[in-house]
Parts: sequence; structure tokens; C-alpha cells
Amino acid sequence: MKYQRRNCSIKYLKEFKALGTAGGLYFFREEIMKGNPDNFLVIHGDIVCEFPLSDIIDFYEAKQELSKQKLDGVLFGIKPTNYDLFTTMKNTEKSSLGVIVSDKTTGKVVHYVENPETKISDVFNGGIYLFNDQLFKRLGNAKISKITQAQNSSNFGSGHDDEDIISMETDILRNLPEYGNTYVYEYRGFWHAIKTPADALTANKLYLEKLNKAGLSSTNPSAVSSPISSTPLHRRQDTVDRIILQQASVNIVPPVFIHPTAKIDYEQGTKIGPYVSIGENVVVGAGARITNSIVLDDVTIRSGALISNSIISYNCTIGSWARVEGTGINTASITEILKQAGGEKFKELLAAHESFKVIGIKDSGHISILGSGTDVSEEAYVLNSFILPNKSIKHDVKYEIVM
Amino acid sequence: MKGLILVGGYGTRLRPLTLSIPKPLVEFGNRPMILHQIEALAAAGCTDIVLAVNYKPEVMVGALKQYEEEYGVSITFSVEEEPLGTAGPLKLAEKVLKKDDTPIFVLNSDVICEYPLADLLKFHNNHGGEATIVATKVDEPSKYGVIVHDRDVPNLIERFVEKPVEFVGNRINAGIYVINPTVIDLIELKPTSIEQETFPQLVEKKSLYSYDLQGYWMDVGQPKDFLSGMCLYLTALAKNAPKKLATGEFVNGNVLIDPTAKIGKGCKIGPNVVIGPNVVIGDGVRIQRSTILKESQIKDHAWVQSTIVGWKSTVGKWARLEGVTVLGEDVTVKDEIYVNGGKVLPHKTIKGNVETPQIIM
Repeated sequence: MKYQRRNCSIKYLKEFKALGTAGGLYFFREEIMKGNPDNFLVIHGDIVCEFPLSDIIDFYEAKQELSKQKLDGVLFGIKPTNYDLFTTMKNTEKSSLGVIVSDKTTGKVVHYVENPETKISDVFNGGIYLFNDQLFKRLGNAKISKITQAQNSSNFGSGHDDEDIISMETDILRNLPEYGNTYVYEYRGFWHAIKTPADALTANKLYLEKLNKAGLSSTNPSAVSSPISSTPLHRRQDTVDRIILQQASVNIVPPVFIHPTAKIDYEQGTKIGPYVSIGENVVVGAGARITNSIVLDDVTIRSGALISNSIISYNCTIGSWARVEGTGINTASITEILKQAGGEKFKELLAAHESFKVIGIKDSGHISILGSGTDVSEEAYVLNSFILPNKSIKHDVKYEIVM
Repeated sequence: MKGLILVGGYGTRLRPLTLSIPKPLVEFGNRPMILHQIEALAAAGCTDIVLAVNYKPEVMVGALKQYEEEYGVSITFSVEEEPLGTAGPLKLAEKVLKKDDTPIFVLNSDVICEYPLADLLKFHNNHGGEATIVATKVDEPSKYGVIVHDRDVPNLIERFVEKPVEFVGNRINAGIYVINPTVIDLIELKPTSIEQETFPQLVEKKSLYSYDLQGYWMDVGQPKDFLSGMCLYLTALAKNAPKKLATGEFVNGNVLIDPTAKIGKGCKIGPNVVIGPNVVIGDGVRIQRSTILKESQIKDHAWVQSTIVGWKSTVGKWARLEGVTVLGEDVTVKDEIYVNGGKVLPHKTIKGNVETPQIIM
């Protein structure tokens, strides 16, 4: 296994059926509590952020010390720099958005609501929680009340809810303020939900930016963390492989990560970056241009090819003078619009401009993705398209999904 | 011998190139378009050449002065105050054209072909008719006016059929004629079409013949056909004067490169490319089916196909141009930009992708 060296065991627990956002936790409660931990972290798998997990645990312990009774938990609250941009972008994703209201001095959660129509707080649920065994009591209660409800409603002959399905948001978080012992850890760094392939490119950009900010170029290989796996367990020595970014040069526009096993021909003005991650054993020919893209392992990019706003999966080959391009979403201009006109105007704009979306590829943003084993012929052009694995692209492909 | 070249107006169909210089001076195969015709006329023994124009830019007067000396011909401008069609200019330039009894060549300035004028003249003199139309074969005669021949007399034209629905023949008027001075007497000084008004009169008189053009023929009045014509011209050059074409490891097919142009390392140029004087091509550049006009620069790893790059323009690194893109004079396409079918007006800078054919002001 690739992640064996990271010294933590990974277990996959498969729900026998879809159990909602919290049903699985209840179902696997014994497995989770094995070894009687004081507390445990619950993290949504589709988010990216700086994961300040140690700080969350410290925060929990500090609050616990001050509290007479046992804490219910700590919620990871994100405080975006631009409230309008954040809410409108989330709205277009049509995903739910939890808002946390807390006491200003103590940080105690006093209210939790999903998708409010008005602005009642600028702290959002970031999908990370630190709970303890109290949670299972709450989950148990939620289940019991569901069964009771189901019995009542079945008296009326209508269909009943599945009592195994428990929602973290509506069954637990909404009720936590009542118990009065949940706190919010406020976070101001980057945060993004990975809902579509385009989001993966955003995540790539955010992590590379973070590493770059930390000054992790090749001359300063200390204090490095991994952009891919989580930070190691609390207070454990760092055992993760060090990620070293490329230094700026005529060929490199930082931030760029190139795996040490990749072979790059820097002749003829090859130019890589910004926001490029290149995987193991990748071969890049002379005069290639790569920007804002993820290039996975064993990919070959030949001379003079251009890759932009794209994800190139394992084992792809890109011919000379080929061009794999996504036109991206111009976030700079989006921010500008928001500055001038505010969120409402932006909502209208998003609704009016179909061009913000790729035709036939719902909500993906303007990117191209090559599935593994894709072969793009010399001089061919792939624009804003998805290519499913093991296809040969001999002609130009624009705004298409190639099956 | 005398020749008349029908130049006409502003060459708007070839914009944005003709926004900078008159169409006859736009280089085709690294030589001004009109020079192909002047050279052919001079070679066929013409001493007097009339350019029928409805405007007379200074730049053209200057350029043609130079050709007069170079080819030992006298060039006069016949300026129409209102457009006189394809026949009117003959009447207007009567003084020059009727100064002796020798036949007159009439050429359309948009047409590019091998100009077998000496052979055409021989043919004309042999049949004894008053005029000869050069005919070229086309694949789809239904789009043109088709020539129908007399059943008994070879090459004698019996009638014309405009856009025939049923197949009547595949020879069409190629826009090149040789006429006797007497034909001018049939024309009045007013807007007149030689094809629709003068020729039918000659058909009546059984005095109009057609001559089969060998080789290529193309009306290069618009960018798409300019490029198609360029391919045909280079193919003919490969046959007739292969030494003029470029050779080298980077050359692929028929490519014409001015000796003053510089080509970088690792390029692949061709087929069907014309590169003008003082053009600078960077490393790893790929060009196909395109004309790069003088003093332009194509930077490293650019990919150019079916494009006309105007004078003094710059194409950035890793840029991709295709789909009959035409860059006017002094246009800049920034690094990594994609342009598909863009018609870019002079002095513009293109900073964003142009995905669909459009005019960029």
C-alpha cells in the first residue's frame, strides 16, 4: 500500500445500506470506541482545508477543563473572508450549508440551522467534528425518536421513515445547542468541498499555495507536511514523506510539485506552473507547457504539448503539439463582480451565463479530464472535455464526453 | 500586345489584410498578387498594361512604378468614377487598348493560375473569332455559369447556362479572356457586364470560343480560397520550379521560405506553407497550410494551421491558431492563446481564447 509508511492503520467500514450522514457512526459504534479513546474526530471525506486537527483537539481539551460537565463535542466552523462569494458559490452547488451561531465570549454553540435564507451568522459548518462517547447516546435517542415517529405515522397508514437512517445535520447538530455543551472552533483558512472534478483542481491549487506560503522550497525542506494525507495523529512525530516544491526558475513558475522520479526535459523553454502537481515516473518532453493541472503517475507528455486546467490520469500519453485545455472559471473576474455588485447580482449572472458551465458536463467548471490510459495523438486538441479511460483521441474534441 | 487587369474596389472580402494595403499588393506566394499577372502579361509580350481600378491609392502607384521598370512595360491606371462592371473599364481605357490591332488580354485580379498566355494567344489567332474565354473544369458546375459548346465547330461557344440544375457540362468561365479590339465597339461607357451583356452578343455572331485551362485555377479573393489557392500554387511550383521550394529536415511537403526568414530548432513546417521576408520562427514551431507575411514572429512551440498571419504580427509561445484565422497587420496573440477562425483587425492584442469564428475589433 502506498500509504503504509504513514504509520496509521486504515480500516474500511462498509455500511450495509446507505445510512445517512450519521447512521453509519451509530452502526459502527463499537468499532469506533475500541480501545476507549477519550474522543474521536469525524471528518467528511469530500472537504479540503488546512486540517488544523491538533488545534481542534487542544481547543476541546481547554474547553473541557473549564467545563463542569462532559463536553458534547467541538464543531469545526469556517469563517469565510467573503460571505457573499461563499454563499453564492455554495448555492450554485446546490449542496446544503449549515450555519453555526455561538456565544461570542465562550464559543458555546447556541444555534444551528441548515440553509437559512437570511444571514444570521457568518460561521459555517466545515464538516469536521470532535466527539466523544456522548455522541452515541445522542444517536441512540435520535433513533428511538425516529422509531416512535414511524409507529405514530404508520397508524395513519402512510409510509414511514427508515429508522436506520440518521442525519448528522438534522438529527444531531440541530439538537446540540439544547444540551448546552458544544463549542465551535473558528477557522479562517482555505476550505473547499470537492463535489466536482473541477474542485479537485481548486484543491490542488489551495494545497500548493499553502505549501508555498510555508516556504517549502527545495532549500528549506524542514517543517513540511503532506498535501494529500491528513496531518499525523495528535502530537505524534511527523512520519510523513516530505513534499518539496520546485524553486522558481526560467522553467518553473511556483508553486509546482514534481515527484523526484519524474523526468522533465527542460530544453527549449519547457515551462511548468503555477499550480501543477506531477506524479511518479512522469516523462515531460522539451518545450512542453503545463499550467494549473494535476498529472498523475506514469504519464508521458511529449515535446511542445500544452496542458492547462486539466487532470491527466495514470498512464496517459500526450503527443507533440497536442493541447489539452480547460478554460477554467475566471475567479478573478467573479471576485470583481462581487466587489462591485454583491451576491445578488452574481447569482443573476451565474443563472444567465450558461458559459460558466460546460455543456453536457454538469457543474464541472471548464476543465478537461483524461481518464487513465488515454492516448492523445500528435497535434490533437482536447478542450473542456472528459475522456473516459483507455480511449485514443486522434481528432480535436471540444465540449464532449468521449465514452 | 496589351493587357487589362480588372482590379476593382477595396478588396473588402480579403479584410482584415486589405485594411492595411490594397488587395493587389497583398503577397501571395511571397509576391504581390498583381505581380503574378503583370509578369505573365510581360512574358506574353504585352507592353501596355491597364489597371482598372475604382480607387487609386498612392502606395499602389509607387509599387507599380517599380514594376514598370522591372518588366519593361507601361502601366496606366484607369480610374472609374463609378464601378463600371467587367466590360465598362475596357471602354474607359479604349485609348490605350485600341492603339493598335493586336488582341487584348483581360485578367481578373482575384484569379490565380498558371497563365498560359502565349499558348492562349496562339489558340485565339488560330480560330479567327473575336474573343476567347479561358475555361476551367469544376467539380460542381451547378454553382457557376457553365459553357455549352457548339456540336459541330470545336471550342465554339453555343450558349451559357447559369447555375444549371441538369448537367450540361463542367467547364466554367475562368475570368481570363483574350479579345480583339473590335469587341470594345460593342461596349457602351456605362456599368456593363462582359459576361452577361458582351459575350452573348459574340455568341450570336458565332465569334466566341473557349480555351481549356491546364493546371490549377482559383479565385483567391477571400481568406479561405487564398489558402486553397496557395496550396495549388505550391503544388505547381513543386512541378515547375522545385528549386524555389525549401528543403531541410524541418520541411514537410511543399514549403516556400524567403531566404531572409529565420527558422528555430525542432520545427516542423508544412505541408503548404509560405513564409515571408524577415519572419522569425522560434523553436519547436509547427505550421501547416498557412501564409506568414513579412516581418512577423512566431514564438516557440506555437501551432499554426490554416491561418494567414499579417505583417509584423506576433504569435505567442504555445499559441494555437486554426480554422482560417486571419491576423491583420501588427496583431499580437499572447502566449498560450487559442484562436479558431478569428479575423483580427490591425494593431489588436488577443489576450483570451477565441473558440468560435468571429471578427475581433
